[in-house]
Amino acid sequence: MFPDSGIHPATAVTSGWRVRAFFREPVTLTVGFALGGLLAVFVLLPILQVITFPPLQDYLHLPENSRWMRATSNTFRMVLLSTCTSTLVGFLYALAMTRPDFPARGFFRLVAVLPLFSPPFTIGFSYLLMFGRFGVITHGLFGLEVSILGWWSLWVVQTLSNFPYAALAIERALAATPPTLEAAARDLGGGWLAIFRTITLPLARPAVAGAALLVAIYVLADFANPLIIGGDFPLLATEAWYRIDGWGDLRGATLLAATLLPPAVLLFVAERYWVSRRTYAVIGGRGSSLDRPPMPGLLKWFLLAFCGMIAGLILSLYFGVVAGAFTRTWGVDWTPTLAQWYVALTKADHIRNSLVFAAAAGLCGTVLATIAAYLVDQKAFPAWRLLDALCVLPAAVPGVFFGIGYLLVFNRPGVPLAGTALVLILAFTFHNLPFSYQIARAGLAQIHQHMADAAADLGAFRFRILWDVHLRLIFPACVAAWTTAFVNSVTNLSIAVFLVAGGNQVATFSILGLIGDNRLEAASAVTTALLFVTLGVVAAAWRFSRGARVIPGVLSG
Amino acid sequence: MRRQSLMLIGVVLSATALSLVGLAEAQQKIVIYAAQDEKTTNEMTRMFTEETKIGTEVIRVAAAGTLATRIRAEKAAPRADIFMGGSVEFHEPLATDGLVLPYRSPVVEQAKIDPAYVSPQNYWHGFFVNSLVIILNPERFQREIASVGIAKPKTWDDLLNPVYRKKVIAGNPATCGGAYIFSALQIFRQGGEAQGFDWLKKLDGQILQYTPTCPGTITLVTRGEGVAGITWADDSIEAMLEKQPIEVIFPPDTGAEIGGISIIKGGPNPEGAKKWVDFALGKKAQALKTELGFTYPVRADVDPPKNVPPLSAIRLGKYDRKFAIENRDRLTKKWEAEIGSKR
Repeated sequence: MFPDSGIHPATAVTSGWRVRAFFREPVTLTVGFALGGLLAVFVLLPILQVITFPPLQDYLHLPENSRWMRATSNTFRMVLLSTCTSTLVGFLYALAMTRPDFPARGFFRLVAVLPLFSPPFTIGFSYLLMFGRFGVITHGLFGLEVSILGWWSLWVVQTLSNFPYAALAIERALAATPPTLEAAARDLGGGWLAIFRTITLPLARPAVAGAALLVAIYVLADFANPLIIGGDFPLLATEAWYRIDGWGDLRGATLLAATLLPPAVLLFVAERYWVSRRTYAVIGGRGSSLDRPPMPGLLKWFLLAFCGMIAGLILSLYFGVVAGAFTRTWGVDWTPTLAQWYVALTKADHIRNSLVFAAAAGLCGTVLATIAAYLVDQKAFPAWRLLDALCVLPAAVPGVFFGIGYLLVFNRPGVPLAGTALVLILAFTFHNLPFSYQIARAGLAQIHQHMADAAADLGAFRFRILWDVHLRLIFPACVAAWTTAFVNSVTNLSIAVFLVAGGNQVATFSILGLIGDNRLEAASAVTTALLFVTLGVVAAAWRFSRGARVIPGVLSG
Repeated sequence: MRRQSLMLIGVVLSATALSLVGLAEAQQKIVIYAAQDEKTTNEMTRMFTEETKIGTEVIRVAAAGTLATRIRAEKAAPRADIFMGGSVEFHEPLATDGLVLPYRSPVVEQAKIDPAYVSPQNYWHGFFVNSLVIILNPERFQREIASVGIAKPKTWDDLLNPVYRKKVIAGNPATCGGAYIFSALQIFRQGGEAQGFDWLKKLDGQILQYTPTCPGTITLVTRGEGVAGITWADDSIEAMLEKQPIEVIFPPDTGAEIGGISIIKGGPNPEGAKKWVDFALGKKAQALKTELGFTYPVRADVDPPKNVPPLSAIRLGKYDRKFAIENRDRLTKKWEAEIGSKR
């Protein structure tokens, strides 16, 4: 970006000037404070409530509860294992995606992105059907009998569910490696291994570390998969849920959720300040004048086999869910039937709720994020650093924590918001704010300051500039932000499960109920319906925004 | 492009706003917390709305403990009108804590319902009877148990056979009503609380997993994750008729539940709630529940379910329901402390 040439009201030179300058824009100040107030009430307050709810001696007595200590160690074990494998799989996948001589990249990319659009337990639930002891694949095809309950199948499911985040983040970094460097290395006589070792890997290292930290946060907060196939394997997130579900024990639940926060914040801070270069760029096509050198044949076949296996696994799991929606009794009676859709139809209200709440949350989130990103980008608000931190803070907070926090603060009897659609919408809005915020900031960062200066010279006040200048240019980014928030809200379970009441049930909660009722086929039908509608909305939004591809859920970059 | 985008945004905004308004629309309705299966609940609510023109809003979770906990959590501002399903062991403690509106339905006199099925203080009405069963996965049983010469389990004690180690699935007594009744049953069978808990600890060695819902047991056994399971007869028979791989055994000293309905005090629509109670005890609803739910009706003039042994053939073990009701909290906490948290 070019250096700022003129004196701009908000980036003035001396501090005295600056303070007076802020007071010249009362509207901006008011908006900024209003935003700050909203963030304080809907982000900070729930977090503080959860942390302070259990009395201090509960924290001190935590080591005495053996099951909870095991939950803690299990959670860390899964974070370690699943993060390593997800990052590894993601790296190999990304490597394949960035080689122009790799066949059918579009197909592989599509398959990798699929887990990001579906309800979080889709893979776990289908795993039960396809790879269980009498699963269609493990038993039907291979005649094996492997129990799926327990931590190692959770490991597989978490890897498959989370590697797309790693793959996408690493792919971007690998694609940014200039092919000219690789070509130069080849000219100097380096073989493929030397190029990989000295150029590709070092340049990708920050992205790999960043992807690992990102995946770690998701695994830490994973709720839906352990619920379905975790068996009796205690984990912090699910134990917090069981305390409330079975015992109404808010003290125990908040204690367990609070234990999740320090590692999540640590990972988040590490990712943001240590690793991330904070390159806010919306993905567009990145052409290069030079083609990448072709891969050695052995590597190409290995990558093809590997990606093929991963893609095959994912497709088989999705086949499991979709097929389950159309059969009479899964695995036993394969007669095709539409009977399951009759049950799905009774859940139409819940599916509608999911879509409407997610759309509303996306809208609120995008509006708030755009305004906040604008204020921070222009440094137009005295406490812009605080605003920036508050906007990104929810990314460090696991969904379960957020859900319990909102339950404590807003879903209490007596509070007018309690049990309404609004409390869910607000929870979704603020939980997904960081994603929308990052995308908006990335978009705004690409707009040169001179245009805003020109508009200011012509007499426009700050928000007129936002509307007339910036918004037009970052509109695709806003649509991308809305889409991200939409998909994340539609597929969310960990927050919804704590906040649903009679009037605001969402589809993911219903699916959980159907699975608990041993109605796996009906659960498949509702999951399939939800999946296709989500994909439809995303496709429509993508067309609408003319191809600004930002994949949901990626935090930085 | 600008006009189109603005129009599209306008459309999306209005659609969202209209939907939200539509959701907020008040309509004569009742809110039901149902610990009952999907099919029966859907049909019952549909029939009720047809008859009375009152809408229903249902939270259906196959775990009575979960719903009772929810009702307790909401006691300062109850959101539900009716708590339905789950044995009366879960309804009575709510009543003792003052969370239930006493009501005696006129249908009780009209249909001459057995007084055992109605709370003497009018706290709850029983609307079905159901018993506990042992379920087996036929293929795994054949391969792993029958092959070593052990016969099919006939009583609960047969499940303590070391060959079943880590092969049995049961429910968690905190959330799932059947599991609580099963645990309480052992206290009466063994002749004392300490002996009952000793037996449960022995069983714990056999258990692979405690599921949060009772039907969850069936899911795992039919998928072959467990060889045997302990759950309710109605869900098991239904799974069997759907040709899921399951075998159902009625042990001679089994437990039974009286499925209850109670009206929650302070709910939004108590008059509608009373109509629901009358409806559920009516002949049509009882016939529906029996046919779709595979449970025994409380009315004498409704046929028992097909495909299920008659109620007279079920041999119930000694069971002091009053003790089970009064001590539910204490016994569940004891189970969690001595068995649940050790896993």
